[in-house]
Amino acid sequence: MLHYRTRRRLFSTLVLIVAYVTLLSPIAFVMIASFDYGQRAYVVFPPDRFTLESYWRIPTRYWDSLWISVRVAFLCMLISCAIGIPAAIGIVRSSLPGKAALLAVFRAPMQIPAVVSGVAFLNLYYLIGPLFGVQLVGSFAGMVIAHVFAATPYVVGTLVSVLQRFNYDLEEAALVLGASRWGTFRQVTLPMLKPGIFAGALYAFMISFAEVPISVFLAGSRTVTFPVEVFNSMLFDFEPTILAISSIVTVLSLTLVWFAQWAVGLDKFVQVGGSD
Amino acid sequence: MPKLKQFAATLGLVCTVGIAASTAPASAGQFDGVTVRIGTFGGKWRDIVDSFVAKAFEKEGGKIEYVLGQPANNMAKLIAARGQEPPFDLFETMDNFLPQLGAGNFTEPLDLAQVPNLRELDKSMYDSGKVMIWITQEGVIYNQKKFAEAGIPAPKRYLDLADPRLKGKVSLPDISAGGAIPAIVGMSYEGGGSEADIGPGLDLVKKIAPANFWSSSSNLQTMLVNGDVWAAAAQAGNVQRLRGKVDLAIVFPPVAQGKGGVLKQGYLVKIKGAKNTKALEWIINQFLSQPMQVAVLTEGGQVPVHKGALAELQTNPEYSFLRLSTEDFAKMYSVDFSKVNEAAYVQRWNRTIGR
Repeated sequence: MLHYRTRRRLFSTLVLIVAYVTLLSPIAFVMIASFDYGQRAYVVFPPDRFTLESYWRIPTRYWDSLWISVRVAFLCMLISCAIGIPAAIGIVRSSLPGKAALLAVFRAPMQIPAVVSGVAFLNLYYLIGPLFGVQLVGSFAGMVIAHVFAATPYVVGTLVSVLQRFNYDLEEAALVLGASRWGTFRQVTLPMLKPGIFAGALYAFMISFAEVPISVFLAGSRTVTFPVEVFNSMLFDFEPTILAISSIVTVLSLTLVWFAQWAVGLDKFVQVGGSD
Repeated sequence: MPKLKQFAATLGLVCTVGIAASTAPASAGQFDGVTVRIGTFGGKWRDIVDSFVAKAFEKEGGKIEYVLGQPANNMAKLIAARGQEPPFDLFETMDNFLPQLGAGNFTEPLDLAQVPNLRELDKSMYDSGKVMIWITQEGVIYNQKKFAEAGIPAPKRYLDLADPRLKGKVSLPDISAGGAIPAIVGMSYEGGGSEADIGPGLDLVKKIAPANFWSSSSNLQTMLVNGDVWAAAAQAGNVQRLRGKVDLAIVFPPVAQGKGGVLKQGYLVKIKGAKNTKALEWIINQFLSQPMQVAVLTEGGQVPVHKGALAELQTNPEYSFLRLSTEDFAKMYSVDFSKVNEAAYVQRWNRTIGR
């Protein structure tokens, strides 16, 4: 009979393995299947033969849409942070009446089905277009604005959870010791908030990059994002090149995460919402 | 000396003309600077349109831009843009959206005289409001090898899919799938109903008790290749796409009015408020050119409507499972969408079949 601790450890390891396999198997499936190019209508797994043909044949429309997605997501990340960071600080640290209601407003986009948001933005853009003389449907700006709507709650939510655990004594100590308000913010507050800001920014980027239900209504001839391009392709017919470009995007995403870990320490993100 | 002068003058003139000719813009096309926006499907279909229509249009100086999406998504864009500049000039849609397009007054008539390739189409396929460009043939596809091994005779009607030996091996289209309405209407007629009464069709779905409901062609094709599914209500293009992998055949169950199998039709319509009508008509004509129409089947998996293309494809034994003549099309059932209430279909489906 195994010792209780050994059994517990074995059980934990087993749970961990199952969790990893469940999470990673779809990615592994796509990446392995991407090396087959014997047909065009369905997924072959395991591949009949290993070839890089589907990688060579990736249509330019996927690269174009990928570039659009990266630009939209990056801009969305910047704007969401520009809105979300001051909003979160204001909500948590001010003495505004109705803070809870304000926070609920900022979280509302997460509770509205994205398809409904997509239709709402589509109609809104057509409504305001003639009033302001701007055509937002099918435009890059229109796409970014809608993505900011979807991504900002994640920035606010992440930062609010960090701020609610913030130790204000540290700021007071800095002020007592003679630091200016700006110096305190720069040298004490900001470093403490950094994990939350990075996590929020990363969330905003990911939400925008993977967004389909809103984008599908707003995409124009020059603003088809990568997931929408893949979605439309899959609805018409399956192509093996979809697996190839998806594998490339997966590798790029993992590289980005690895870079974030190397540059700022991804483990700090994990601390968000953790214990003090 | 005068001869030398004459020679020099001639040489100068030739050089001047030559340089001028080489630096002059390419010969002006009839659609220089014209951009046409087409609301159409994405993926492989866009590539086909690009190769056979857009490139030819570019040679005439024009440019095609694509507003990609399923007809339902593009329809939503059109509704939202009501009263303003439409999101696209030309809309590739399916038969189920035609009543909505008409009722909403979203389309404008075409000058059919400007589309000479229409002479290659049966007259029932077009009018000034719409031009058919492809069809799909919907019926029951089945794995001949698996059926033979299990001693199951080839199906003749939808009810044959309820054979107990097929338990767990049948797939029907989900209500959200493109093939849903043709299958529901087909099964409804078989059960004694119609477009206006789909109750018998839904009862038949319950009787068949499929292993699953397919949501996209690729989803169904993967199940057929893996042997998880032996039979399905689906379109004939699946037979072509899985050739060499699965020994598939298609049958067209009797529907109504002595017709068998159901046709699903793709159309081009001119959107109200679209500019450059001449260019639109030129593009529609290009959609109906023989090379494009042949590619509709060889590259896209749908059935063309152009008589010349059909005649060309009839000679290819690879496509013998299809009905490839306008006479054959006439023997297949076209859904009467004026009697179809899609929202009510979805509600009834969700209540009866559930998830």
